[in-house]
Amino acid sequence: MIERQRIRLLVVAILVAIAVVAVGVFVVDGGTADPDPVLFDDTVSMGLALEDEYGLEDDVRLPRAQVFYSQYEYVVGYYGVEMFVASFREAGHTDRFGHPRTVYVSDYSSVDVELSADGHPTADREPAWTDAESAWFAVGSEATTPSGQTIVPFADRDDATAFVDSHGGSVVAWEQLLDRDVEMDDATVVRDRVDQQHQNADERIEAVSALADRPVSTVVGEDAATVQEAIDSAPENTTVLVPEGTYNETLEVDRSITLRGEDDATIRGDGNGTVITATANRTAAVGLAVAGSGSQRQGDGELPGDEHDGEWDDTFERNYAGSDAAIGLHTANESLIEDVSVDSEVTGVVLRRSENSVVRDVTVDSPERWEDGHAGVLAFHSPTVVENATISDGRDGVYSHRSTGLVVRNSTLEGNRLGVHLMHTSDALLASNRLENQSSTGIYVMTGPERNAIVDNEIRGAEYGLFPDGSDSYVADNLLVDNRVGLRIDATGSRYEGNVVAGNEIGAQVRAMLPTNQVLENDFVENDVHADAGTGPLRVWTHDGTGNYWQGASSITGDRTVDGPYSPTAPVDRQLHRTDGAETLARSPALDAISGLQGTVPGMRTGSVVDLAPTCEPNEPDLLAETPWADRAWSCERIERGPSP
Amino acid sequence: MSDSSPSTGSGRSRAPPTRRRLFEAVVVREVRTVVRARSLLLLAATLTAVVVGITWIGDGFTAGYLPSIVDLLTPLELLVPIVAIAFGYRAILGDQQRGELDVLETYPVSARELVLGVYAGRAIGLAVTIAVALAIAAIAIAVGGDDPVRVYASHSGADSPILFARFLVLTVLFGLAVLAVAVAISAVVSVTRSALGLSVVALVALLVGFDLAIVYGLAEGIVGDADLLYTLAASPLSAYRGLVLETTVIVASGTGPRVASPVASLVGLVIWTVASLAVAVWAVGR
Repeated sequence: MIERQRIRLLVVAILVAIAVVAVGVFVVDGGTADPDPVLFDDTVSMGLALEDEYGLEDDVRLPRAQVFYSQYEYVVGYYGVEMFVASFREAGHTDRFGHPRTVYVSDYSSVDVELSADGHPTADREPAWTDAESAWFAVGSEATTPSGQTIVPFADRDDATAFVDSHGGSVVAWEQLLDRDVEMDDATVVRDRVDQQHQNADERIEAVSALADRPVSTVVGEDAATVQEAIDSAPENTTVLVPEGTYNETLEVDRSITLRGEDDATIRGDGNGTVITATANRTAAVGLAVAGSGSQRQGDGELPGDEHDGEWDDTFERNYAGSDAAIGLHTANESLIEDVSVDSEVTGVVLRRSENSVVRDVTVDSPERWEDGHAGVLAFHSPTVVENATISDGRDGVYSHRSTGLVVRNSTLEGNRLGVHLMHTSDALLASNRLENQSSTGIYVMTGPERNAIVDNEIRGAEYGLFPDGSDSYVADNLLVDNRVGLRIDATGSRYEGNVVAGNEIGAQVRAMLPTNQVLENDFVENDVHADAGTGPLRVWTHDGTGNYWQGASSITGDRTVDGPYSPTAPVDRQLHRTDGAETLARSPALDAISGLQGTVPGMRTGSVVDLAPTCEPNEPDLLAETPWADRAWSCERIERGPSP
Repeated sequence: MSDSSPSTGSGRSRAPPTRRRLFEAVVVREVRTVVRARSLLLLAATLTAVVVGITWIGDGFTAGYLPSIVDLLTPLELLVPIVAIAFGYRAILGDQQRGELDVLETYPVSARELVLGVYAGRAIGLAVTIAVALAIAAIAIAVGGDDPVRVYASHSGADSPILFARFLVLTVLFGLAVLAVAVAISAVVSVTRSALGLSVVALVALLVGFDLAIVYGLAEGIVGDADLLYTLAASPLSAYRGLVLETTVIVASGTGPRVASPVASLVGLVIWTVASLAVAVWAVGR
C-alpha cells in the first residue's frame, strides 16, 4: 500500500511538473536578454560607399547604429541613424528582417564632439554605444556624413541640448525620431532620373561639339612641317588640320586646340609612352587613326597635367592613369575625342581628371591577348560621356575609377575580359550598350558605389553577364543571354526590374547578405537554373504584389497570376521548366502543405529565393523576342489556348 | 476523490477495490493496450518520420526552431487529428466488443470514471507519441544548425527552443482535444464499421468542414469582422493554428493584425474536449 502511495505521489509529481513546464514555456519570455553591442566592423553594414569611407579624415567619427533584428541572424550596421530610420520606414522592411529587438547608436556624450569643416563629427576616439531607446537625438543640425545631413545621438539629454545650441537643430527622443520622414535617394530616385541623365549627357555633348567646328588655322604640311610644329604654332581655339597620310610622331597638346584629321590621317607613335598627350581644357581630337603607343600597362612616374592634392588613391592614379595610351587626356576638362580609331598596344584612351569630356564614335582594337591590354577607355576622376564606342579584345573595355556621374551608352564591347568595369564610381549611367563574349564579366561594378543606373544593355556570352555591387542602384530592361550567370545580385537596396534573363546556365545568382532588393517583372526563360541563392535570409522577389515571370511556374487554372508562390531554389519548382512531370509533383498536397507558409519568417531561412506572386506571362515580350525562346515562354493560360505547336 | 477512506492504509487487501484504484486500473490497462498495439507504435514511428522529414525538406535543421514550426504547422494540422482518431476511435468500442465493458460494469466503476480512465490512458500514449516526434525534431534542429558566416557578428534573434516547446505543448493539447472526439465516437457507436465511418466523417468535418463553415459565415456576413477572432476558436484546427501563430510566429514577425485570441482558442479546445467526453459518458451510461 505504501508502495502504491509512493507511485501515486510520483505520478502526481510528474504530472504537476509537466503542467508547470507546459505553462511555464508560455510565461517566460521567448527571447534572450539584450545582446551586447558588437564591433561595427563585424556587422553587415550599409549607408557608406567605400570611396567615401576611404576619403574620411582619421579623426572623423560618423554616427552609426547597430541593430539586432528578431529574424535576421546577423547584426546590421548603419552609417547614420537616419539611414536606419529610412530603412525601417520602408514598406516591407519588418517583413524581411523582423522587428528591431535592440538598437545601439553612437553615444557622443562619451566623447568631446566637434564638427570638421565638412560638418563631419570628429572626436579623439570612437564614441561608445548606447541603447537607442533611452538616447536623445540632435536632428537638423549642421552635422553631416558624406551622404548628407545626419542625426547625432547622445546618451545625456543635456549634451544633446548643448550640441544643438552651438550647431543648430533640435533634440528629439527615439519614438519621435522613428516617426520622422527621412528622405534618402533610393533606387526609385535613380530610376526616375534616367531620362534626365540622358538629357544631361546630350547637353554635355552639345557643349563640346563646337570644338569639332573650330576654324582651321594651321594645316600640317602647308603651314608647318610636322604635326607637333603645327600644334605649337596654332592659335588657341582653332583647328590644326592633318591631311591624309601617316605621321610618325609623338604629340603633346598643352593649349586649347582641335586636332582634326582628313580621311585616314594616322598618327603613329614610336612604341614608347603615349602617342597624343593633351593637358589643356577644351582640347579635341577628331577624325584620326592613332597607333604605336608604348605597351607599359602601369605607370609609376609623374603624370602630365596640373598638380593636385594628395588623396588616398594617389598610387592607383599613378599606376592606372599612367598607362601608356594612344590618347591621354590629363586635367583636360570638357575635351572631345570623336571619330577616332585606335590600334591599341595597351590602352586606347586615358581620361584623367578631365571632367565633362566626351568620347564618341571611337573604335579601339586592343592587343589580341587580354593579358597584354589594359583598357579601351580608362576614366580616372573623369565623369565622362562615352557613346558609340566600339572596343574589342581588351582587358577592360571601359574602366572607370572615381568618375561619379560617368555615362557609357550605345557602345559595343566585344571579346574583352571585362566589358565595363566601374571602381568607386557612383551615380553612373550605363545604357543601351551591347556586350558580347566578354571572357569574364559583361558589366562589373565593384567597391560598393551608390545609385548607379544600368539599363537597356544587351549582354551575351560572358562568365557573368551583369555583376553590380554597391547599393541603391537601378538595374532594368537589360537582356542577359547565354552567359554562365546572367545576373549576379551583390548590390543591396537596389531595384532589378524588367530584365530578360534567358538561356544562361544560372539566371540570377544572389549573394547579397541583406534582403533589401526589389526584384520584379523580370523574365526568366530557358536558364538551366533560374536562380541560385547563397548564404543569407530568404529573398522574397515580389514587390508591392508584383513578381517575376518564371518559365515553368505555370498554372493550369489560367489567371493573371500563377496561383501559388514559386521558389526557383526549391527542389521541385526549379525543375518545372525542364522536367516533364515536375508540374504534377509540384501540385501534390504534401508539397502544398509545406510550402503554404513559405514566405513566413523569411529572415530566418537560408539560401533560398521565393516569388510570392509570379506573373502569368513574360513582362518584356519585345525584349524576349530578341532571343530564340519567345515561344518557349509559356503563358499560364496555355491549357486554354491548346498546346503550342 | 474525497471518498478515499483512511482504511486503505491498513494494508489489508481483502477490502473491495476503491473507486480510485478502479480508475487507476482502467488507466493502466489503457496504457498497456496502447503500448502493446503494434499498429499504434507504427503510427508513432510514421509520425516521427514525417515530422523529421518535413524539418529536413524545409531546411528547418539549418534555419532554426521558428522556421521549422512554420513548416510543420500545416502538416500537423492534418496529421495530428488522424493520429488522434486512430488512438481513440476503438477505445471504448473495443471494450464493448470484447465484453470487457460488461465485466467492468460489475465493478463499482461509473461511466464517468470509465470514460475518464480510458481517455487518460490513451491520452498518455498520444501525448508521448506527439512529444517524442517533436522532441526528436527539436534535437535535430539544435544539433543540425549550420554555422553562420563567421566574418559577421551573429545572434539568434527571436528564435528560441522555448518557442518550439510552446509549439509542442499546443500540439499535444490539440491532439488531446481530437482524442476526446474519437473517444466520444467510440462510445456512441456499436460496431467497428460504423466507428470507422463516423471517424472519417469527424475527420472531414474537423479538417475542412469547420474552417469552410467559418469562411462561408464570413463571406455571407453571418460572422462579423469583430467576431472572427472568437469564431475561429470554434474550429479545433483554427484554434490550434491561431494559438501557435500567436505564441510563436508573432514573437518574431512583430506588428500586424491580431491572429488569434489565445484565451478564446484555449477555451475552444477545452470545450471540445469536455463536451466530447461528456457525450462519451452519456453514451456509456445509456
